[in-house]
Amino acid sequence: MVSAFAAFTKYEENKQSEQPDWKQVVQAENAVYAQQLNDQREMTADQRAHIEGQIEINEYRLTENVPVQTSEYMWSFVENASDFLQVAGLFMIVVAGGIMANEYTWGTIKLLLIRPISRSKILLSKYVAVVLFGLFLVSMLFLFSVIIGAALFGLSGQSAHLAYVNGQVVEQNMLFYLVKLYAMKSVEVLILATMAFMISAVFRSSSLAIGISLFLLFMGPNVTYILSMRYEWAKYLLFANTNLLQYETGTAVVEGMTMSFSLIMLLIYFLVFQLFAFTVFAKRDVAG
Amino acid sequence: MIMTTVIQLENVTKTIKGRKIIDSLTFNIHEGEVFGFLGPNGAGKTTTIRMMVGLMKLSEGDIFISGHSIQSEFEKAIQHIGAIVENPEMYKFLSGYDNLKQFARMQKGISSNRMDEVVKLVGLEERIHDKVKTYSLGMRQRLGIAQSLLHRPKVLILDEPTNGLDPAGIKEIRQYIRNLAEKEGMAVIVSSHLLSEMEMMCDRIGILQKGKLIDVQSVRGWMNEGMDTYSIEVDDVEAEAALNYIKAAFSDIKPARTASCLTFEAEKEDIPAIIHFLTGKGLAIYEVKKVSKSLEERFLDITEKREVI
Repeated sequence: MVSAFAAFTKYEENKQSEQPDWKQVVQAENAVYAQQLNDQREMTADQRAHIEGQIEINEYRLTENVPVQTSEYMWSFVENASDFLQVAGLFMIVVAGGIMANEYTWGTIKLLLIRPISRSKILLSKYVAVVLFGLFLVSMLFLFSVIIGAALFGLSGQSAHLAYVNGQVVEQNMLFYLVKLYAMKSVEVLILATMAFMISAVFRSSSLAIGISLFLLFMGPNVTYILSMRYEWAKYLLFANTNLLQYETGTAVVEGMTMSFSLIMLLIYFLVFQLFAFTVFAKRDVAG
Repeated sequence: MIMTTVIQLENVTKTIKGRKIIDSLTFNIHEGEVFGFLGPNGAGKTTTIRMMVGLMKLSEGDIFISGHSIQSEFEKAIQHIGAIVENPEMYKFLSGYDNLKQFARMQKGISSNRMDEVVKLVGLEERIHDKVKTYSLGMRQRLGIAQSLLHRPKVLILDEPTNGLDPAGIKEIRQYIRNLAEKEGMAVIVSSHLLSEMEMMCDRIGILQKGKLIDVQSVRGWMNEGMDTYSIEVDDVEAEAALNYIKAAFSDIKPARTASCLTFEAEKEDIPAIIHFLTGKGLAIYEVKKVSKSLEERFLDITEKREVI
């Protein structure tokens, strides 16, 4: 899939005509930003801060003469390929949703539970297997897109990512930036896989677990977004917090949310899922 | 011979939704014996077995395996148990050997030698590397037994071990079970609703009905218990007379008449006297035979009697 994506990108790239001078582009961009800041009064403080940050970064480019990367190269391909994390998430959810429920369907749960191993250990090792599988998928995606990106688009390109941190523009290592990007995007997948795992262990139905989790994976963010326009409490919903990138791009779902707020919320959801799975599983009578 | 108790059930009770499924079971099972759980469908055999292996929680009471409580010391208690609960379910997409390996990983100290030994014991050497989905039911049953024997348990629990097997398969399983109990000193617990089958492999049978243990009997004793039933065939027209003669002469025998046959319960020693007496009265005797009560009838007798009480 990543290869097909790479081939397509390469094809598109060949069609592209010459790019205009990057300095002009950046200046035009800043003009638009400045106008936005003046015109739109309804903007949230977060959005305003984000745009100001973008302006700062562009200014930095002009003064330090750091060109904007316009053509595709290895790292930018890796960045774009991070969208495939959704697909990795899909696989992870399928596995997480099936891993306990299938043992029930096959009847092998009985053989597992009569080993000299406590039930919570069995559940924990199943969960660890799911997480390892997810890690494997994500690192495969990363590695594979590095390899394909390098092979098709070459290594030349900007070596640093510009970020606006605490009122200053800093150059970040590209690898570091991308690992962070992948990690943040993986959080959503991880928490959904945990939910699928919980449903799988509690309700013993893989289709229920996979169905609900996939539905939420695709619909959850939209529904949350709609709710967040009207209600403040939407910020406590799971999907208001799964997208950690919202703090990088200044588009927090509900104004006033912070990264640490989201992390705490995610942690709470995570613990609730796990607690639920473990207590129900440890106490259940296994029949049929 | 001093018998060591390996499993001890104490007042085991299971209540589901206010209904007592299992009611105060108390009994012991010793080393080297084959113990059979007998009872009609729904009597609670499988539930009891599920509680013994920790798949179900007990509502009251406790089960001790080699002195360890299944509730508070689950890991210590369960390591002495090997079991198949209901059907021998395995990972169908793996080979028999991989299935065994998977289960061997979950407990300590199972060498690959032990695995080969167990495979040989159940006679699966030739097919062990084939996928389980290609196995017949009998082979799955044998793989199930192999799985339960891996860790040399002190107690082997088999729920309906002969379910769905052909006569040859049943005989084979029976021989394994007897062997394990006699040669390895294992306690084997089997459940079944077929008395004839139990009679052939068990030393003791516990009869369960409606969640209660209504009787525990040694198989040998039970089979020889009580008087036999005899039937005497006489001439049609003389039957009524014969009936009255016997009633008058033998006060403790209560014959019943069906057409030309008289049936009654009696001790073996009484039979010659009865024949002698009847021929003395000039009655023609065509046939005298012992009607041995089938085990099923005895079983029904017991269960019905208890039900009335």
